[in-house]
Amino acid sequence: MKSRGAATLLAPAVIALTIFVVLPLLWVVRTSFNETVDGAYMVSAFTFDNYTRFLGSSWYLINTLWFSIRVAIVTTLISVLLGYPVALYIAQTRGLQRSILVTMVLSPLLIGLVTLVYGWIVIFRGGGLLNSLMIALQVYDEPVRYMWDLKGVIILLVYIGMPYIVLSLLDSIERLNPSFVEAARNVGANRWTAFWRITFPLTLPGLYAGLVIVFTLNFSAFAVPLMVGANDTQMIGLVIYREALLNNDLPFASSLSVIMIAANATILMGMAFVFGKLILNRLEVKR
Amino acid sequence: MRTPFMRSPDVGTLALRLFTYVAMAFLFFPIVITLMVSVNPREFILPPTGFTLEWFHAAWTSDTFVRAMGVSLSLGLTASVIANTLAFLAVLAMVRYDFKGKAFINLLIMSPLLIPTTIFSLALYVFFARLGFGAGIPALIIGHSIHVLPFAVRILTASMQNFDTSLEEAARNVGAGPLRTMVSITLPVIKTGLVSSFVLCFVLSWNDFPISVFLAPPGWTPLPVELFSYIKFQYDAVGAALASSLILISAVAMVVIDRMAGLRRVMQR
Amino acid sequence: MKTVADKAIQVEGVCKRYGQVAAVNNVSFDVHHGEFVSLLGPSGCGKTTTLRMIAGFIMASDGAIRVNGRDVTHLPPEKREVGFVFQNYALWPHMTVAENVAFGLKLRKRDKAFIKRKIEESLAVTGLSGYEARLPRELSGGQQQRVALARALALEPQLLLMDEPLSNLDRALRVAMRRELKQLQKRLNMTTLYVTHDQEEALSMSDRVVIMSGGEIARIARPFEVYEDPQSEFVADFVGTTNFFDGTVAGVADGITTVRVGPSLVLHVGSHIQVPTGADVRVLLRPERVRILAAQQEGANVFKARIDFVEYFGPTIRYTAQIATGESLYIETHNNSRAADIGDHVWVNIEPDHFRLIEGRRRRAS
Repeated sequence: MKSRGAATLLAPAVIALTIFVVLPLLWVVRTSFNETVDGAYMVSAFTFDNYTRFLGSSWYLINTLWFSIRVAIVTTLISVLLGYPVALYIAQTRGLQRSILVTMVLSPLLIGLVTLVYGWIVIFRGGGLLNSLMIALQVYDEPVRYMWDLKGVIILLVYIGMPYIVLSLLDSIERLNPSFVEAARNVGANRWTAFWRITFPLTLPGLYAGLVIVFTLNFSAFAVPLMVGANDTQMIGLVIYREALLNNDLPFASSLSVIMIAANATILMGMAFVFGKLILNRLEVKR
Repeated sequence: MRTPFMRSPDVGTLALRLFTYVAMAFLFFPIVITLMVSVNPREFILPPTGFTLEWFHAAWTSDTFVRAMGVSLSLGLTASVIANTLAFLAVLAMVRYDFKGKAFINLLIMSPLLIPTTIFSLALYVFFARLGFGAGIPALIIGHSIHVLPFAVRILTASMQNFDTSLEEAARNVGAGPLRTMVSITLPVIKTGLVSSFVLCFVLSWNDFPISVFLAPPGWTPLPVELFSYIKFQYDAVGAALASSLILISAVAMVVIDRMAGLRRVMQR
Repeated sequence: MKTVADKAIQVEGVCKRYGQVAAVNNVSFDVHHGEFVSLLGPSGCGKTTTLRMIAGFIMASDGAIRVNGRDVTHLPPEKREVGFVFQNYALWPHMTVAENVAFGLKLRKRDKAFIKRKIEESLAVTGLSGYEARLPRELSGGQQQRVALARALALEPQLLLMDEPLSNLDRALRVAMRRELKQLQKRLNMTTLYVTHDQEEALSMSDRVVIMSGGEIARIARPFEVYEDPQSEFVADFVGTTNFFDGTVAGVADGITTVRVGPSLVLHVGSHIQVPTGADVRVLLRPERVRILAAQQEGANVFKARIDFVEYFGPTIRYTAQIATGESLYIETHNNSRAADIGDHVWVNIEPDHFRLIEGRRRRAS
């Protein structure tokens, strides 16, 4: 009787998610084996052509898959380099200062991407603020290209990735017992040693959580390269978008999605292995 | 006299603080710039030389934008209502009942958060194409509802977990039936959770670009997509005014959510 | 002989099972009209589960519960008409004090004047007049406690169930509220079933105490009986402090049972129960029944003991001593008697009637 009550309450959400998440995902896998005829019509089939078309093309592999991986790695690392000190500092603050800082860090997540991109374009475009300023200061005299190339993509991906890193790090820094560091100082470690030998290893679980989120987000990104990228920033998410919406080649877009998920899962598994091997085993005992 | 426990911040802390402020400037720079441009009488010449609402007026009277705002508004409200209804019922089951496969159900409910948006949008696009509808209003509403569902579940779970069930027992004890108890006690007590959940779902939908760009049908374009196609072709301060409008609405929402539920807990993935 | 109509609560063979585990196992007891009965026991003994089954928050797996003769075993809580005071008070945070009190009356569709009068009455009786418009969070713990009580009393229940209502108050307030609650109960002649883990509370307030352990009833008795004659090791251990001696009955004569404890200690115990010679027994002794003698004396139950440890409690002092034959002994005296120090040797004496006997040996410590 009890579990029937739970089943009734859960039914709407579970049914909705099954129909609109699980089934569509399965359908994507199925579609990836279909054929596109005359560049427009999808025909039910069972062919690996869509996969070989991508995986057999060194251009796609290098300029799309490998490119996306590189961009995701670079932007994730920059996000960590920027986010870690910020998280450390926020963890030391209290009260109003803290909630203002947290709100500021989080604001890129709640303010829409297009809006943020707009601001960056104002600053970075050819005749934008940065170029006007630099030319006025006579740092250089010709406008430099900041947007609509790789630099813009990286800046924006860092911009929207960093909040997640700060958030998950802040969580594990706060969970850290302050007496751990005090005990290290007490037995003779200086601040720097205490940080590297105590704080840093103990925040690795939070760092790992952040890395997983940001890497996945950035690896699959399509809106950022669509808005501020160029011909040479064909990230895999963007190619999926283009194939599906502009070329109407759903089978190819679907196979790219499957490849993307597989690649992402492989990389995350590698990351889990490295982190698990090196550090987490020792820390996760309690969980 | 020495007071060993009170000392002024040392070099390390100062360096951290400086670094944080620079990073914050990086995060806030484009937002501030957009706001400044939107009220500056001379297009794109900074620092501002005056104050004008001319661009806002232009943005808020443009037929295209007003229409897009209407679309975003109805889309956001509908998606919020759907997501919060599903979420509330599911959370009730997850918090109040013990059953087998809870972890699996939880994974399923949180899955829209775990699947990259690109894949989720494409999957719905392909699925609705297969059903013969293609991108359309139902697909768009469903996409938004499902996308924000995990956030609603998270906020409501927090309020329901903190909810003291003896409040309900006390109501039953003085003679209230289950429905009456829900309406008179449970819902009013978790009101802040409900409101912040609703606001968060709305603002996430209101600002969404990736799902809308996949699923929005021609003629029913949400504001962010409209803004994107606008700034692709023209570059003027009207765009800034529109972007600023979006920023201000998000800011209000952020304050509401933070006061009621704690922004940070809500946004963690 | 009491009849069914005299019984405000009848609990008959009630069980609550969660899977294989029985939280409450075959519990039966009655509460008479106007009586104050406590359910006392350590945490996890099933006392709160039993109370919540009577209120209907938990459904009994087995057995029957009757309130004033009416079978309520399967009724939902809102149909049971019993007052309940929660441990955490469970005041609805979005309602004022008056609204909290009025909620149940409004559900009963009483007219406005009646509700208003009832609010005034029940707040007056709990000493909260003037607090009508406050929200629960603006009240102190003790005041919240009073609102919870007023809310229950406003419905004029024939029966009041209280779940550790004083446990969240600090000690001084708890003692004051305890007296006030008891006086109110007497004045209203309110049948009360009261759950507590605090033995002092149970002993001082109750007409009868139901002691529970491991989901079962260990003892039902009046407070002084519980303390003076525990009848079981669990009760003796749980209520107050007790000296235990394991021994064998060496003989019974002239109303005195001689018990041999260890190789050389012999206790002379008043024969309040029949135990055959040769039987294994446990001898129970309350520490305050041990008398420290001013000087050496001859006679039965006089022992020499060395003081090993002294605890000063204020009104009383507890000594941990070792009898010359090796057994350890708790002694508790008023602080006006001659104080002994660690290492002192004293002579102690125990009246035979102050011992209590239980048959059998100590069960293996779990």
